[in-house]
Amino acid sequence: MSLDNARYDAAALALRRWSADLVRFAYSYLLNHADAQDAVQDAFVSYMKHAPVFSDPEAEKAWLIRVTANKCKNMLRSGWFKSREPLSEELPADEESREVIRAMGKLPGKYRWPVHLQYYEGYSIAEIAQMLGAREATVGTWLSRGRELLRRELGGTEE
Amino acid sequence: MKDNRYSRAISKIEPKENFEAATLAKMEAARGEPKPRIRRFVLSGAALVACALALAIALPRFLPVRNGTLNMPLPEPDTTAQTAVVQATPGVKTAADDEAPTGEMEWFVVTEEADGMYAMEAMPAMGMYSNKGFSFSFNTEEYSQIVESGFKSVLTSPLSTFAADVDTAGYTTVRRKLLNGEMPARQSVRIEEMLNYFSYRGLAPKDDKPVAISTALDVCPWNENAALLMVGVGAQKIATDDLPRSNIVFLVDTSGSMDGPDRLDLIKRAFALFTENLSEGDVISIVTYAGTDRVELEGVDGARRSEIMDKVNAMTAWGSTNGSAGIVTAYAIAEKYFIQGGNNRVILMTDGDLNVGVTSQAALTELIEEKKQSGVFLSVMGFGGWNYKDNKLEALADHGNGVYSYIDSLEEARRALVTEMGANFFTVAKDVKLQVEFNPAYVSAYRLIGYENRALANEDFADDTKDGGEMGSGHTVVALYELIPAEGTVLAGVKGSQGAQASELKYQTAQTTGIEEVAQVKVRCKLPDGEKSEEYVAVVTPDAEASEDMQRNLRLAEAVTEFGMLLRNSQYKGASSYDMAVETLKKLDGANDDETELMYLISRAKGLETWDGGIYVGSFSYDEVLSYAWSVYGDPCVRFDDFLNPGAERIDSAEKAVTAARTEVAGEREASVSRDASSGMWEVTFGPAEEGADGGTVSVYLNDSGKTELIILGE
Repeated sequence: MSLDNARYDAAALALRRWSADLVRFAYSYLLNHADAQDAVQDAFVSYMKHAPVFSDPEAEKAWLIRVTANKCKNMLRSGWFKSREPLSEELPADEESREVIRAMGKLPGKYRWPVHLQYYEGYSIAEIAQMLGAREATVGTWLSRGRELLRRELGGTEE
Repeated sequence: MKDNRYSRAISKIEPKENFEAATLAKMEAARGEPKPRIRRFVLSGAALVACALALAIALPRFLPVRNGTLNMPLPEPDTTAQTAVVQATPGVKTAADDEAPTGEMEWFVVTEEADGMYAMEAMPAMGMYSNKGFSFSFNTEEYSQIVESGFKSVLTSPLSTFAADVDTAGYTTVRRKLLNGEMPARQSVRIEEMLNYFSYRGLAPKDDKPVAISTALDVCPWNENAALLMVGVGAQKIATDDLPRSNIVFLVDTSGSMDGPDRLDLIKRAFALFTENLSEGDVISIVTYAGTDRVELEGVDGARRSEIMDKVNAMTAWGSTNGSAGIVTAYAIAEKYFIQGGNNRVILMTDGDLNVGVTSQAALTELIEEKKQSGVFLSVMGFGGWNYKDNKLEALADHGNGVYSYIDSLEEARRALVTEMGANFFTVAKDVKLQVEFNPAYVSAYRLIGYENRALANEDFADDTKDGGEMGSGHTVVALYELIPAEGTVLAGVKGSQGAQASELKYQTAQTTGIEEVAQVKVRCKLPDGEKSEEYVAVVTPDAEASEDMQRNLRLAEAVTEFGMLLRNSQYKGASSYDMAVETLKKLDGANDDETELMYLISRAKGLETWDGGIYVGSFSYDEVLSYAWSVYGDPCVRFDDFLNPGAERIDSAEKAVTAARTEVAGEREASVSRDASSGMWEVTFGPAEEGADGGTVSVYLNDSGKTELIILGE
């Protein structure tokens, strides 16, 4: 019971710190706000049940990202997904951002995460590989292909 | 975050407003669910690649930390075995189980410091970590150093003077730690606060004086050469109906760190109890402080409970704190709604986080002292365990003539706010000081147990400008003195031994006045509205029979004191033992909930101290055994051995590790063993099984602390 209290505290702090980042991470894949929130919510419930000791916040965040990724994949597997098109009412208001996110939505699923993790979170290929449970070479491939597709979709530079 | 087109776009996606709250609710629901103890993962052959990857992820744990990569080094264990530590064993993620690693759980806490650094508390004695530019300090719980006072010679120091203390935080802190499976930090153990947490019988005045003094002598259970003198001061008890009206301003810290079930949520639940005891004529105000301070409620009549609760429930935690500005506002409101002759108080509710604005102790105390003069007192309720600044909070309450309580549960909140509302909030006597004079004809040396923080110079006793303690309605303050009887006398059956006199003085002799009294106890206090103190006196005679109440009080006080001395590992603990303390408590008639819980806590401390730090196979968890022993045998005393399976083997060699691990895997397999030097954890890796069995390697981790069992990882 007391362990739960401590874990709750830690999870609540992590929630406050990273809920936005994690929702964005899930959204980049699911392209659906409600689903993304559900995935992150489930991740925190998993935190309550399964989290090990974290020696630093980075490790904790990496763990949460990994669990959220699994939750997202579970969702796809169970066929909750209706469409891969992001709902326009959930998109940001400005056209520039909408364009980028729609372009992301056109990427095959496995390319989106490496792109998000590098472009938004700034992780290295080694770190992304660890988080996604894939080989570094694989991640490298996904990343370069994903960036290439994104570049083509957005017609020019991605900066 | 990086700055690029994608980043800018995705940053505009935000979680909905109630997302965090909803998630917290789900997490709350997941609390207390039984955790898996042993998990066995079995993969089909097709997922071998995933398994190999998973192992690749787990193995780096045993390698040195490389900067810039996300290894998860294990923390250094506390090898002094003062605390029982459960080490984590992150499992290995497999494709069959989409959850991240599972296994027996450890707990830890990370708190965010004001300067953006992180502090982590998992074990009391730890070193510094550095990874990716984060450096860690740990344990932001601050406790003032206490140097125990020793025996004083009656010839040279016949007077013992101290201020009455009714704060209880010292006990609730100890309780929190023990319930969490940790020994409390020695410096956090304040024996006088532990003593005063409990209720003592028969101490209230039987006449209409504000205070009454009771004393009793007894043999000292832990020192055969000493006697014990118990001094009890009781404040007048006022029936709740007769209590004057209250004007209370709650100053609630709603900064980010107050988020959580043991902080703001607990405050809200406590308020629900509190408002039930308000009446018409009481005035309630609430000021919250975070980035700025906000007056949520001003001068609302106590009868308007739903209005009060609406505001309370709407409080949310965010931002950083500006403690003193909120205090200024709170005092202004208290002064505005001041009730003459009533209970005017500001109650500060915080986790001690005073990040922005005036944070120096000196400036804050000056402010609080100034306000105290106008008749508005300050009480403090401390919440949360991880960012908890004990010494600051206590000092604030002290200077504000208020009470400091540490609230770690709804029960404690109920106690502080409701049960002791009369005592805590309505002052019957202020600036209460005690002075005991010992007679060298009977006592050669004495030791006041505890009250180090409350010691006063002897001349301060009669000095009305010097602060004492606060006593509320029905409050009691008890103190214990360990006495060495003078040569040739007998106190409570303890003979003064030859040579027990303090060192021979050349210019003084123990010329006594021939009065047949052991000691004289004086209490000075002021009435709540008064500035001049009154003095009350009681004497201790050598042959007086202790009343039944005082005998019970003595037993209780002795047990609590022994417990406190053991926790502090005091040099004066003598023959104290956890067993003795529990035995004493068992003999109390009609033990109340607090006393029963005390027995449980003492046995927890005992269990924690007896763990030898080894790795055992097949043990039960500490909690399981204790609750089992308690429910079946009604006996809270459990030794560490009790929670090992009969014949549990201590794993101290590779052979034993392999033997233990073999019991968990199928088939004859080749095994290789390695051991992580820092954690003491054994890793036994088995080669592929024979024909027909599941393929792949199996790693078995034998974890530590006698609390966890074998953790089995993917095959």
